[in-house]
Amino acid sequence: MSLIVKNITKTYEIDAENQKVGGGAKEFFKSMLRKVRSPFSANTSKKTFTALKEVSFQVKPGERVALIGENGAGKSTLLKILSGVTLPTTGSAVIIGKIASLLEIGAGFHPDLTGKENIFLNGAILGLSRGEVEKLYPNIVTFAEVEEFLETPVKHFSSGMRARLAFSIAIHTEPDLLILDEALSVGDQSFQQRCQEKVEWLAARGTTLLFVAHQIEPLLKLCQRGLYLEQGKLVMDGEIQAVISYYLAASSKKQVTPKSFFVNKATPMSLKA
Amino acid sequence: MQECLAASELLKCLVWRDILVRYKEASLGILWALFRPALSVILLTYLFGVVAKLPSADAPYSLFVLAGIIPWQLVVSVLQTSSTSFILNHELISKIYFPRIHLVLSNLLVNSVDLVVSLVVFLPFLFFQVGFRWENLLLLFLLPLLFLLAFSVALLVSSLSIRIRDLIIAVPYLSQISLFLTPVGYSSDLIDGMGAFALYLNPLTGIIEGFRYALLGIHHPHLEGCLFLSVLTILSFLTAALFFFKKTDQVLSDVL
Repeated sequence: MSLIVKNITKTYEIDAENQKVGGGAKEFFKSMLRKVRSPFSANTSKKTFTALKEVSFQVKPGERVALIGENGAGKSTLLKILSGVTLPTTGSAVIIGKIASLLEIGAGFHPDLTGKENIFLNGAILGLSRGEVEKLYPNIVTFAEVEEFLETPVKHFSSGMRARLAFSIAIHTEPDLLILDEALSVGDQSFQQRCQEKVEWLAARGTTLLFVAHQIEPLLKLCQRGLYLEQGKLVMDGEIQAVISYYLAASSKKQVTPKSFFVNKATPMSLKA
Repeated sequence: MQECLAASELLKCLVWRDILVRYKEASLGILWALFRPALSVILLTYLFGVVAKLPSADAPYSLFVLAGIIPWQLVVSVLQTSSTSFILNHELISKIYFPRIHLVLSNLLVNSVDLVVSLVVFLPFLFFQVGFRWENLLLLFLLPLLFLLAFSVALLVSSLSIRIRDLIIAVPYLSQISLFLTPVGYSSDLIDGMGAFALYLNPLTGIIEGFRYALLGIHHPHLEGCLFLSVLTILSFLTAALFFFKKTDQVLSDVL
């Protein structure tokens, strides 16, 4: 196994207190006192939101797995837990080997540093030594097609250039587990093509791939297995084709009955008119 | 072990990133590390030494102030940058895993660059004035103590300001008035009674009076007591800082 996820649950506190307006002076001082007294204790008046409910699965080395689900299904939370960015409330995730995750394009970039400086910074963030980055440097630059802009601060990069560079660094670290959150949807057609080839090449070498995308096409091309999340629960785990058709069926059913949320929002507008 | 090595590599990179970013676009660059203490020395010497004519125990007033400015500057710059050090690195924290303490350490190390530059440039002045003496060796104790204080302040403020955002407003004010709450421009033995006790609770007081003894041979009447109190307050700062950091670290990416 390269990844074992056991019974992961993640709950977030929704800070209702701070959003409340006009709670009165007494309420305000009360909450302030509580905050100063014990800034880290759980606040009893807080609501909780469960982003993931008892999710368990295992992934074998070299498997290419897609996480599928609507917005708010818990995909990104799961990837965050696997990357170590946040801790699960209960449950555990075990990852065997080196991990590289791209939760957001260019999150590790510093806008004032040049492309070259950022390559070294990001390499270090992904756990490479300076020597290793130096060795990979030419490949990273060529793959990202940013040769002319290496001495330019990244803040002047176009979003495509930034994405290509971030992606190029992540895949060249040759991780055992590569996590990509909607990273493949960036770049033009030819870059996407090369990304796909590179990802397939990595998978052939035994890299496990876990990724999230909302476009169906790259998922079908790249993944063998799909995990379907619905409101934090893992409801389906199976062959990619089957999971995608289940997903499409589920989301088309939703479209027929729009959420009451939108209906309520619309009422004041019509009143105004 | 390997993780540790990789982590120290990252720390190096973060420090280097912050130094580059800090001085890259300033036309005077690293010279700012010298200008700031030099300007403060001139100003404080004029105000306290020339206008108010405060005593400085036979040492030139400018050197007396300089011995106070050097440690004060480190702690205040660390204080100023630490309340936002997690918040400014918000993107990094919420998207990438790495030991968060590196942000605190890199903040400390970046500000230490200024300290090292000013020590290298200004120490010869001090030595030239009073010559080498055995008391100089006290610096071997004072400098680690100063770093421990700066580290504790950085860790404590950065951990607490995540939950108590008021610190982001309070800290700039605190650093503004710290010049008066710390005996940088005056000697702490000018103050007595409750005021003196309050002043000795400031961990910088012992360190600054220690610097004055080590560099200029000015022996404060209660130097040993001052230093002892400094060590105590620094250790309690450190304990509190480690405690709150541990709590913050677990929830950092969720509450940012």
